[in-house]
Amino acid sequence: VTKRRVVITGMGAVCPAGVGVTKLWEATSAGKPMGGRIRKLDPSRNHSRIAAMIPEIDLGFYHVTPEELGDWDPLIGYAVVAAGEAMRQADLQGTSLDRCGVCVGTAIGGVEAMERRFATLVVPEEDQGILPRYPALGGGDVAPSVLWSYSPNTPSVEIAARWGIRGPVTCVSTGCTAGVDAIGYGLDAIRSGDVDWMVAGGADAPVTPICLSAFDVIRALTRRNDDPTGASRPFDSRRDGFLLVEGAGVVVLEELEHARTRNVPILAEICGFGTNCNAFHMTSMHENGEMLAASILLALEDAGLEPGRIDYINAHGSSTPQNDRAETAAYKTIFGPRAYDIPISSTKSVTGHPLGASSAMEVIISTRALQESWVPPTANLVNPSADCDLDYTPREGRRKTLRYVLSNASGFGGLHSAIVIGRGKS
Amino acid sequence: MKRRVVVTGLGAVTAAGVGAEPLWGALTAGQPLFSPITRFPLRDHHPKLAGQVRDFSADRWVPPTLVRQTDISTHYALASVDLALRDASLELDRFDRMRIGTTAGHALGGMDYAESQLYAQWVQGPEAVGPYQAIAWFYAAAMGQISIRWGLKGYSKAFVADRCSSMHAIGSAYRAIQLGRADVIIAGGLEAPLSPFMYRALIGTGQMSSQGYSPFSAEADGFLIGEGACFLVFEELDHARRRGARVYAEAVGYGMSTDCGAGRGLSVARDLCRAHRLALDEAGMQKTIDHVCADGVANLAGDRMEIEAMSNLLDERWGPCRTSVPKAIVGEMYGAGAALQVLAGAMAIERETCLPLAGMSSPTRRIPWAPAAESQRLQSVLIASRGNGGINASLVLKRLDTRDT
Repeated sequence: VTKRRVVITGMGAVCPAGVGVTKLWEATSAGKPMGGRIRKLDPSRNHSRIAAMIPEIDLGFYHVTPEELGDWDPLIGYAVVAAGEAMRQADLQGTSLDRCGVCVGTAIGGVEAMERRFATLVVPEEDQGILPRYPALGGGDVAPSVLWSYSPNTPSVEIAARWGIRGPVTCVSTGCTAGVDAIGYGLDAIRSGDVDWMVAGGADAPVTPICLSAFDVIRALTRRNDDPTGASRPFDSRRDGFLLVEGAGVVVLEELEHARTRNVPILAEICGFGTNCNAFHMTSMHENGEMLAASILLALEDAGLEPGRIDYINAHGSSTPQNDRAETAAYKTIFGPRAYDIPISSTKSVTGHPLGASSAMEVIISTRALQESWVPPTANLVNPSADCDLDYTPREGRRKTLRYVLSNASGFGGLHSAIVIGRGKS
Repeated sequence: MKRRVVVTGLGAVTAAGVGAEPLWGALTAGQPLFSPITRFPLRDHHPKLAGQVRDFSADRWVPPTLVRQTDISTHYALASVDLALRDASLELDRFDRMRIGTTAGHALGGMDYAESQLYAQWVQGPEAVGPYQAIAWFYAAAMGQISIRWGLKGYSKAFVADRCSSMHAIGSAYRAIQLGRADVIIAGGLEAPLSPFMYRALIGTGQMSSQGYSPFSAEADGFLIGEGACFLVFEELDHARRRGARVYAEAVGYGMSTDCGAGRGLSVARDLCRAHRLALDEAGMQKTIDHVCADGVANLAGDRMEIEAMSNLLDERWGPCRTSVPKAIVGEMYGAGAALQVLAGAMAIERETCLPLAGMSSPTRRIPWAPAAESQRLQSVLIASRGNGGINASLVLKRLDTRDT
């Protein structure tokens, strides 16, 4: 049985560099990191006080009204705006709306909307400064918009509503692999014949008090507070955690013949997807990256490719001490001595880490790399640590003709997912 | 030729108790198991009843340190998976764990745990947030703990889709096995919605009843919520055969649809019917369903849409097909609700029993139903699930043909 082939025909992104894939690519291809002090909330009692935030967005252009935005958690707006860009590029008018779906993944969903309401119930204005008796909540009901904003599948539902999509609409919520898992879900939905095209990607908005504190206390976040743009430094000896970021990355996946019939530009092909679970630890992984390596092998097998065919690796490279070490070990396991010859980079050095959105953004960056024959650099990589001795394309990008690119991700829950993207032909 | 997928094990923690047997007893007795909520103070206008898990000792199912690091919904899930694996007699050591995974539906997150941390954050400050908040609250928490507990290293995901969450988890398990991504997936859902803030947020949806859960009846004014977890072992047919596993039923069709005009409410009949039809088409069946486990949202408009969708599907020719709503016995379990219904459908096939429709005193429309459990050799069951935002997902289970065993 030959698998139905799946290509990318539209892409959209919202990241701290601005709205649009062009902004994302300009920043990542040139290695210009983002980051600054957190201003949305008071981080003074946290160890990590920096993040990269989304600039003001002109929403009228993106099918979103200010009223909706006021009612929504930020991640919903990011997802809808990114989907708008992807849908415009894919130009799907006239296709069957029964035969398409949406899957936007997220690690945490609309926490801010929920936390805001929670805070006002626990600490009513008249009691500020006084400890309320645990566990009584103050008076007041919770408006239905709070649960709507909080629910992780709301971005998918809102996207479906805007473009009249009537097929499968769901959300995979698998931590930091959510974005690429959603793309993997879309790949399978097209292969199995359930749909002909799928809006898929990831969105997250984790700069809220509880999220900051929760990641901070387990030392997941960088504490390089005096140097926000130098804080995300994957593979560098002085890396100390990831930089918390918000954003979204969304692609339109389409069955190859469907796209050919419509005669639209094919940006890239999703050749294979592999995913597993390390069954080892909720936030940690094997030092030798064995399950991470296994997920990459699954993706290569799914793509029907030998490891030797990979021309560039867009790494997870979260800038935590353990991840970057284990990832390096995994690449050596798979590629053997050739691991030293494959250019690798972590574009999280530029974008920081927007949780579930990151792995979708990285599929977009990988696609642009294929299109532009350009390997984006790992910014801030000055002194690689001893256990990270591969070619991470430090600080400067480079020209290289690329045929197949590997992008991989790891996340809480022990998940590893990898995707192989091939050059598209119009 | 597609790989075929069968159900070979069941596990449940519900208001009926721990295990599928007590649940089956309650479903066939048709007696609802709702009780007054005592876990936290309710305000006067709050609904007072819920399907609460009682006599559940987390320590029996979860290692003591892990009990403190995880939400109660994860405790339910771990117990439920433990039961399902035993029921399936699946000796994991004999199989390649890379080919075994878990998919879990979870609609609301581990809010029982998270609320204590949110209190700490907002009352004492950020220093008071503990190290387990980051792994106890998020939607893949139970999935991760299940995989660690049993060393499952295969295809594993968490799905969130309101009351369809566990149907999406089950549907994706079915597809993943068909496509060859795994041989066995323990799929289902979990939910523990009875925490003070989350309960209030759910009341805000306006879908909860103030008195009882009576889908399709004239008194229907909403559902009551329940808590717990339900998981099923989905297995590739040959894999199950080779190890001589008992088969409850075969999953033969799955369909998803969306009413993109539904806003924040439920789908209209036409789109719901589309999900049913996709599932039946894949099953190669036409108007020949023996039983429906309906979503039964229990409000007049929602129930009417569901009856209309079924009437359209069957062309008004209901034949032997009768409707039940297993959730009306133990409550709408959100992330676990659809899994409960699939579990009930699988048991109904295996035990050759037509389930009664609980809470029904005066039907509003013509819908065939049984007042009490009856012996009936069901060949197929359609399980419906619906969620806010107009999303629908339907699954068809079928008796495994004896020629196949």
